[in-house]
Amino acid sequence: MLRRTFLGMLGTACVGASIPGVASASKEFTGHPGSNGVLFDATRCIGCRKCEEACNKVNDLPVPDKKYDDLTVLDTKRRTDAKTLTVVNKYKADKGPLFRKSQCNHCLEPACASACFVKAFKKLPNGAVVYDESVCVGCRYCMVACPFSIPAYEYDEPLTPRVMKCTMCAPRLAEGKLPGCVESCPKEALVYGERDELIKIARKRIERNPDRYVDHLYGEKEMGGTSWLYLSGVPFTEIGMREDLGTKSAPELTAGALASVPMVAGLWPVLLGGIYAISKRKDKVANEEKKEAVANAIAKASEQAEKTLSEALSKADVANKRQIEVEVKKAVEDALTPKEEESDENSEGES
Amino acid sequence: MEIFSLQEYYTFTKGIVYLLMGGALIGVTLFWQFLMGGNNNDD
Amino acid sequence: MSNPGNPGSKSNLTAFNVIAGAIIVMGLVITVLRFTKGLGAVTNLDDNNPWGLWIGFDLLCGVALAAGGYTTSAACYIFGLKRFHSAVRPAILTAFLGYALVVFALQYDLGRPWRLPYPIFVQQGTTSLLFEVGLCVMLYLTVLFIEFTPAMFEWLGMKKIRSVVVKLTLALTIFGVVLSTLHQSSLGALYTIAPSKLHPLWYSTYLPVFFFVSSIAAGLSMVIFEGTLSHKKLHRMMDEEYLKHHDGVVLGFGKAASLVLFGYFAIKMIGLAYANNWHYLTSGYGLWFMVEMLGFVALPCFLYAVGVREKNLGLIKKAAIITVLGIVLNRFNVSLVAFNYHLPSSERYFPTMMEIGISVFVVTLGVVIFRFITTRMPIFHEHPDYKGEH
Repeated sequence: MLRRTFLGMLGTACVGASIPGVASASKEFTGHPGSNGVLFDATRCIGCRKCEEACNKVNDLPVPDKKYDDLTVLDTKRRTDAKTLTVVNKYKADKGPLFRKSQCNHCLEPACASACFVKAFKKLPNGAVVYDESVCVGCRYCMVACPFSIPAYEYDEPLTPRVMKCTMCAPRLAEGKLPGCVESCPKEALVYGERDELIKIARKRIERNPDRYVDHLYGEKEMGGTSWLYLSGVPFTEIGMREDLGTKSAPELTAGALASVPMVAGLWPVLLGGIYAISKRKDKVANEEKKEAVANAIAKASEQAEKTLSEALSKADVANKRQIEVEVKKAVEDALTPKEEESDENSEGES
Repeated sequence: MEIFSLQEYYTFTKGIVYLLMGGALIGVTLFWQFLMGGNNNDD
Repeated sequence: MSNPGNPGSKSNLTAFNVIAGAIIVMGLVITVLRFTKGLGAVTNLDDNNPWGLWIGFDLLCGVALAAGGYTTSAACYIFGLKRFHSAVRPAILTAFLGYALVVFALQYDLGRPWRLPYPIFVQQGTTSLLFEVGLCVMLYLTVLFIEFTPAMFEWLGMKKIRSVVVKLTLALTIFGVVLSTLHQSSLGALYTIAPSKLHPLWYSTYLPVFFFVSSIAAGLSMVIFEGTLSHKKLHRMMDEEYLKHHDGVVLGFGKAASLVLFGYFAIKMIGLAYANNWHYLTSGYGLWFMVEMLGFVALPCFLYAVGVREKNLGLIKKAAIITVLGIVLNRFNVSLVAFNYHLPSSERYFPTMMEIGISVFVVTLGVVIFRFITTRMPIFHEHPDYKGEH
């Protein structure tokens, strides 16, 4: 293959890899283009609870004990629960009572979706964050993760509990209808539309009535932005909304921890294997040194032994020689003496 | 597949990373065998 | 309370068996309630407090205190500290039982427990730290089981399989440390998604590191603590080898735990500085934080050090108990005390007697099974056929 063709192919491969929409990490994600949301204007809300009633009806939820036109319900602080996907709360302010509706804010980067280990939550292109009960294990980590404390749980279901939260009426949206609450609001405190448009509308309202509104569009940036947006005449903390959530989205919050996971998996075996090899080698060296030391000691000892042996041998040699000499002398002497006697005897016998 | 949110992006990349992690763990075991095997098994 | 649920107790009608039997019966009753009436009837969990004692104690503490398995086997097989060999088997067994019971206890807390394999086999939520925890715990439980099998095979006399498994020791140990590092840290990282709910003194981007490092101290201390308990109650099952090394293990682990606690204290302070949270120290939560850090980290660190220097085993054992309590305190603080700190006290969580009952039931089950196994299998003693094989 020609080098140029190869490089060319490499080039195409690289470009090809980056083409199919899988963006690089440096890219900013802005959500599905044209996704929708709802703008809530707290200065318009009169706390009539019509939205609650509509929500209850369109979602086929159990009818509560107290009727929806009973406004004494507003005197106690409530939150969303398994049977109520949206609640309106009353807050005391200098100008008189203020009302604020709460429900799922349909985050652009949902914390529940980020936290769910079975991908039961999904952000739809139309803006709704929906939940799939057919895979839900019921760990309730989504409820821990949600910064707005919205998801609720069917604690009284022994075996098939579901997580319950507003779906932005995704089934109705699919049919081309408005969300139940938006449709029922008599004061147009709720406006449904494209999120980008809603931001423009909200900005205009603030601009035109700077005395009526605080200059803050809640949900535009909070937790990475939400599809549900809020306007208010008083600081949001005064109508029960946390302003200390920050603008970092849930996936960003866990990104660091998640990023270190593969590093551990990739490097720990290398590190631990290395430590093992080093400690084993140390053991081996220590063993060898021990062996060598033992061998040395033995060698020394045997040398010593040999030396003494050879010394002993040489000593023994000398001693031996002497003894032999003595023996020989003795033998010679011995040999000589009897001959004389013999000769004596012989001579005696002859004579 | 077009990706519009960080959440979708992470779901995609982490999926691949998890597969690679599994591969790396199996790979390192085999590579260890290769590295520590052979004739020069002194150290 | 009588003792109807303890079969074969005619001759074994000891105080231990009677109490354990009663607790198990109580646990079974609550189990029936849980799975017929639902979580709402048994627990104080609500929409604001989705995780209670069963996560805070059974899961977080259970996993942290079962860290003795990977710390001991790493010390022995990776760092080459062969003198700790006699401590490996009890530690592995405790870890295996610990994790098995964590998974068992989780069945009570999960809404649809039979779907527990879903995240791994049906639909993988890879961006979730809980996915990471689930995957690692599943794999680690398998690793621990395999690491434990040699004792079982020796007991059953299956020599061939045993020798195969023993050959895998190094790979299993390293794999175990990798998985433990990951899920111990990820348990802490679970809370990094909720900075708005966890008190700043306990919330940190370093949470995964804090959980991992403290789990090492927890593991080492648990080995010392359990060794002491077993020493008293199961002395008859221990061989000379185990007893000879026991004091050495206590000293060595005490020294290691002291050092780790020192590092843990240091990084906790660094966490404070990194998030500039010093001003919270003067608040009520700050006082509580100081109690945790000084009373349950710095103090045992110092006691361990003195105990090791003076070869004072009694002091080391006391330090171990304080450390174990400190880890439990830390996990409770993160998951229960400092969690939802912004809510008024009327909306805060406190466990019901039945929740506590299940937790006690699970711990009791663990002790009973541990006793059953250690009095039968070669855990505290070497099997005569395999003596001296390290």
